[in-house]
Amino acid sequence: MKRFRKLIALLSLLAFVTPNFALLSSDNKNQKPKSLTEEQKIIHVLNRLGFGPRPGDIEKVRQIGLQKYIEQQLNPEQIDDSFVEAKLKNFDVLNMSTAELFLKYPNPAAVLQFVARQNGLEKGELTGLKKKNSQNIEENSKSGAQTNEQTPETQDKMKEYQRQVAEIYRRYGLGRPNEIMQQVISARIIRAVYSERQLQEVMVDFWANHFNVYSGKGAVRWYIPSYERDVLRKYALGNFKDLLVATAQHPAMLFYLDNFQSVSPNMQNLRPRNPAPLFSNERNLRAFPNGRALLRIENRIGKIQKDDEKQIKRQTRGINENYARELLELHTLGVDGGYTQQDIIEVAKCFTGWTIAEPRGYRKSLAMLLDSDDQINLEKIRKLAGVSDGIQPGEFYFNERWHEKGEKRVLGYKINEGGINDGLKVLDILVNHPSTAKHIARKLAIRFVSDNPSEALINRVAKAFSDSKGDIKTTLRALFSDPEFFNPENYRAKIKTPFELFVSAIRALGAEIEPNRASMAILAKLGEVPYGYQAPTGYPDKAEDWVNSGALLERMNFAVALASNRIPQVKVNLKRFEASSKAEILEKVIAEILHGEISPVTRQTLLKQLEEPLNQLEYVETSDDITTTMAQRRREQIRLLPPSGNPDTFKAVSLALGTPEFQRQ
Amino acid sequence: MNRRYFLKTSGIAIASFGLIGFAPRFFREFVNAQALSGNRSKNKILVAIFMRGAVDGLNVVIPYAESEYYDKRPTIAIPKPGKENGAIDLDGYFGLHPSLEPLEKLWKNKQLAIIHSVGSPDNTRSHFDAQDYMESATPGIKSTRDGWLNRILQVDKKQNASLFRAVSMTSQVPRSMMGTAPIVAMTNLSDFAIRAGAYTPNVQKGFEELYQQISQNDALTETGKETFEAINFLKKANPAQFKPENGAVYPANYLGRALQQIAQLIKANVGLEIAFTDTPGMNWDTHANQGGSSGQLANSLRIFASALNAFVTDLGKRMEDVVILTMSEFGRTVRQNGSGGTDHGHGNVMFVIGGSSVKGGKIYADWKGLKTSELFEGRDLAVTTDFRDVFAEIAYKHLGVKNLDRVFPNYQVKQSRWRGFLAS
Repeated sequence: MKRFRKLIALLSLLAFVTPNFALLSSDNKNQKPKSLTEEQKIIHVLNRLGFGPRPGDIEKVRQIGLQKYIEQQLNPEQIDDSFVEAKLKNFDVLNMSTAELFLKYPNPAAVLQFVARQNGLEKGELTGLKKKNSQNIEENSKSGAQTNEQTPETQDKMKEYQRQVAEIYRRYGLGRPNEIMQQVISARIIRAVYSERQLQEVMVDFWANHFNVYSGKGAVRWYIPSYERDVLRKYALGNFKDLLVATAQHPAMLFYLDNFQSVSPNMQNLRPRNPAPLFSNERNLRAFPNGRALLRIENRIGKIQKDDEKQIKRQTRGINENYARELLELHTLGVDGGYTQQDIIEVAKCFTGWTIAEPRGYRKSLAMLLDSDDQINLEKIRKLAGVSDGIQPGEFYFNERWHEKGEKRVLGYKINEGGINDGLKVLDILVNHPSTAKHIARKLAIRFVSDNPSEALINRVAKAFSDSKGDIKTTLRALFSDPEFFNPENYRAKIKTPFELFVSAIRALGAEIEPNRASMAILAKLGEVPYGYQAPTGYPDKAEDWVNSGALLERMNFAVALASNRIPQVKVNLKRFEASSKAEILEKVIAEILHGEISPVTRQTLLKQLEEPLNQLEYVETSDDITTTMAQRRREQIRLLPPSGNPDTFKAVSLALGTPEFQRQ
Repeated sequence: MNRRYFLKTSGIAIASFGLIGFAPRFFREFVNAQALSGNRSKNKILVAIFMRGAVDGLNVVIPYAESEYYDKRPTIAIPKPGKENGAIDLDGYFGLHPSLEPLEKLWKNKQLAIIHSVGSPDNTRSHFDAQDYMESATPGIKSTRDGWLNRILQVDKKQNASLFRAVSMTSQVPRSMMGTAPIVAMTNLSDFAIRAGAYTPNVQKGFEELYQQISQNDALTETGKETFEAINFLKKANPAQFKPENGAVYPANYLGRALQQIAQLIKANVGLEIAFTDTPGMNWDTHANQGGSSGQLANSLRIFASALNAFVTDLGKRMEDVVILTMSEFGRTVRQNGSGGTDHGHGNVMFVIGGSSVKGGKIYADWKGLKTSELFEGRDLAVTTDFRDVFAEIAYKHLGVKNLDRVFPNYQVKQSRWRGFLAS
């Protein structure tokens, strides 16, 4: 963007010197009209409050009336969305609790562990096998574990185990955990493309980045369906405080930012003084078949327990500040929000003991499902951790014993509420802090108005936030009714993020999509897969982060792939663009995809390019070195097949979706 | 030459109007840079290799002179040099894993410097967090948006830089390279093109023209222009034409392919300065049956060494401009575990390989030894060199980056802490 500003400056400078440059700069942004036309306003709203217009959308909004449409969007619960609900009815993941997900989609590593134990393998040996075979879904991408260097015996053993693992998945109707994110992301795409509740989807995306979690870390993926449903979507247009508390207590966040391991260093006695053995009395014992055998197992567990205890001590050797830091810097006050390192430490103390019951609960679910001895082991761990009975695996609970007692000082406030209330008090202070209002207002203004919103606008929106005690709807209403919102300066001034580009292109063509792995792969290439951003900042929201050559090239290639109907499970019908002359095709394309919003030069260039004769390229076998594999060569051959349909329409649509104009919103 | 993008587009226009004197400083600078770039010597290049999974540094560069090493690793230790399948002696105290035999030559030529007992001040033993910290180079701070390699590009801005200044041979931009400076990530050089089937040339020309419109001078169209110049440039440079030289044979695996293509980019003079790859297919996370002189780790190390060796052989004299840096998120426990493996530890080893600027043939370490009392938390090799001091020394001395405070935020870079493995 800097370069852009410099170029503008340069051009204006040159405008004094040479008439040629004055001509050239006549097209630039500074010359925008004083106010937007009614149609432009509608396009602006469809782009900013949603994922761009579908065929017919502009007319629809015109009939409803723009202000009324905005008000409808602010109240999504009143908009009928049964079409989308029907489309999502087979996505079972979306309606499952975390405990159910643990049960239905266990980590293959845990199943493998069970199988290996059944086969009489020692504890250590399994870890080795598991790692070697990259079965551990959690860390496998990170450890790069995948190897061919195994002895034949190990390979045979593994093959047999894998067969047994597959058998367990089959027999119990289980699914592989990859399925979870596939469904979640597919559902996000479907909602963005088809939902009438467009603003809600935009806000879900906004909060998902504001309160970012990363699906690739540890057990986070099992928590995401609930996180999106019970937190992000539930409070997307609700009250910021509810949203903040819900994120703070959600295992997705607790796991992602490590708070579930945050333990007061002053915690005494990890183990209750005299732990009651599970089978201390005859009644307990009788309740289990093979009670005596279980008692022996228990004794053995007692030994393992000591190791586990050491392990727990090592892993949770004190306060973890990660959540506290991001809570202040990213979720509430903002980086210059006026807090100190000491505040971070004190906030972290307040949140000690906010943790998760069985953070990797698939192990427990599996033990129950397969009725294995492991249940007893896990039951002891649960007791040890002080989880009360009503709490399901993978749920938030407050562990009193881990909590740092005594007074803390946060941002000048004394906090000594005790127990879970320490953390709740912190959240209360943060929500009401003026820095939070400004931070949220700034981020919303950047999302909805421009990359560089004015301080005046931010202050007005922040005031709405504060006055309404963090009511998100009220805050957004202030933003959308602000004079700056429809200022021509801000029209088409934002670059679409890759996700926005992907969805808006499908919408613009009125294409049908049944998202699958291919859609995820395209989003990955474009650079934005939901829940795929590692750092807690979430995906960036400014042009400078998205505009680079590699990314732009992928955008153009996506445009081509979409126009040529080459994306699996996406159906594009370009028939309606067909016409008797190339010029007419182009006019239709410009009208429908770009809504006539195109510079004269772009129009001219498009026409000129369309008039060029289309020559077909043929595949020539070229290189045989190791850098091209067979698969790549085959890909290359397929790549060179001509797209089906009218090549002129294909070309016009490809180019239109790849224009600079279509990258903007 | 690679540095003509701007010249062809805006630069020439300015120059031909004879307006250079009126133009702002920024414009003069790059037009002048164009003139200079013609006879500028070749770029310095850093090739960063991330061994994800935490390689067992103590079995890569072995402190064979310490009895503690053998006491704590009864079945996976590498025998002393001279014994059967023994380590390759380096300096009378440390030895190389026998699988790394191809690197011995580099050690003797003083092209290989080894930094030991190096790592992160943060004590996390999670692969995820430790990689994150090493790649952002801000241990303990998660919200750092960009990676250290990208910050080098940001700090050392070059208006006329090649688009191939920073290339990652990975399908996604790695954390180390994330940020506002442009990065090209690809697993295969041939992927950097418009892919429109039989109509590729035609469609590409269409896009090219769209982004050539001088009237729309903004970040987007500028980037568009650069993109097509880069595509055409890469096509013309045709890196694939460069076959391995000097008898180099790359292993047919991911790292071999990645390094071969990085070598091709270097030979094609595309303006490469920072290249990145990781090592999929090699399992460093050896919790069980790690093996000793042979076995799992030995096999991975053999391919690793053969890929590095092929790269250095292939580049020959060009290695004068290149430094290779290998890294891994943390080391592994000093004691072997119950299943013949090692668990997540702390301090580790790094390789620096290059030309005459590398003061190789030496182990750089403040070595505390493997006595339990000297170990980190009683179990792991201590970290006595902060990994950022290795990164910083390379950034400063090799890539000529002066503003290190911005590359390493929240860290006081002090040259006195550098180990001095590069000539200044």
